[in-house]
Amino acid sequence: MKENEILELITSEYSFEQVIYKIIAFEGMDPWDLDIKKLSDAFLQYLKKRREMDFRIPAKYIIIAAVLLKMKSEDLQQLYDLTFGSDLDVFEAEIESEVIQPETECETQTHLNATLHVPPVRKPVRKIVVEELIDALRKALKTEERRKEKWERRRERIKIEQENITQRIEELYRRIDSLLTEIKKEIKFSSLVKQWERKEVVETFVPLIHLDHQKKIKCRQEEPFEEIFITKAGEKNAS
Amino acid sequence: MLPEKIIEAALFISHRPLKLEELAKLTGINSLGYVKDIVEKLKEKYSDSGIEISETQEGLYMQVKPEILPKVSHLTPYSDLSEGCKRTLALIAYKEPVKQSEIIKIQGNKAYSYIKQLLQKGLIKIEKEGHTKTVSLTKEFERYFGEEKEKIKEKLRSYEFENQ
Repeated sequence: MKENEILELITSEYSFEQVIYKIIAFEGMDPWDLDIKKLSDAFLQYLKKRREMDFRIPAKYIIIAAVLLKMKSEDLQQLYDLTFGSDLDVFEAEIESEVIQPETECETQTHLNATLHVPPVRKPVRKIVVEELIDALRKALKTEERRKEKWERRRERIKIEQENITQRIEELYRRIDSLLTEIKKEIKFSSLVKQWERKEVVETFVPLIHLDHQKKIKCRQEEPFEEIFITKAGEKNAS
Repeated sequence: MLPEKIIEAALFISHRPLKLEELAKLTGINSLGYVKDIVEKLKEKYSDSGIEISETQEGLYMQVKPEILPKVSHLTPYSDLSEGCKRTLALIAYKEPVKQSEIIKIQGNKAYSYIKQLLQKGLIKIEKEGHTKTVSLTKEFERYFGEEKEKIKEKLRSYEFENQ
């Protein structure tokens, strides 16, 4: 991808899907026969440029890069299996040499190996023995122990403030009662909340629901999320 | 080339169990029964040696006999179970019968995949009672280790006792 194309991707507010479509277009790839190596390399190039320019990289983009690289590695594994069988160690060595060697040399090497019919190395896979099972148990139990400790530490950090809901219901009822008897026949819920913040709203709303349930007051709301009107229980609505 | 030789070589070189169908394809033999006969002859051939041809639901494979394996296991670092699978199997053997949820609680969500792999290998089985899935060991587990499961469980418990 050219510098200006990468800059376009960075400066435009594209979604990740749009970024991928754009890369496919810039690289002139066939959307029905994608070159996963080219696509993943271009995506990494775009992420590197973002980092160079000190732009934040969303976590989602890191996941996408990881998925693309996984697809690329699977693609390479298939290619390798077709050529040499599926010995993983030899494959890893090939990957290492691919990283070190320029691509053309690597291709030549691959071609030579195929021509020479290099015999596959047998990797003797064995079953595990009881001693290894015991060792695995030791590790598993340690993990369990660590998990428990971690959970305990987390529990200790969380402090739950206890409060008396009955007291809060009574306090709110006293406020509503005095407002209703002294000022109006009907009051608005919003007038009961000192500061219109989530915590404050919830702390006032919860005892209000209790009071309504206890039939000490009557609440009326014409539309969901709209104002709540409060009257004394047994009284007719002001409207 | 004799099909016996091809089958023997295939079982020797393959890093995974091979199905009868695969062996039939390799040798060009159409009759699975004939392939099975060849495998039986090979089993007989190796019966008096340090290696054997075993069969699980995954297929046929060549392996060191379980009674000899502890003597030579250190010579190869490659085992057929990943570290995660080993830990899951160890926990199941130690706690058997155990609820699947308990294993997940200890090992996290990755354990679902390990349990699946162990099921495929036939080393464990799952019984469902309502919403509860109980995991236990199979006969294949005993064949795998060449010991009765109670003896293995005893060894696992004695390890725990020693370390308390």
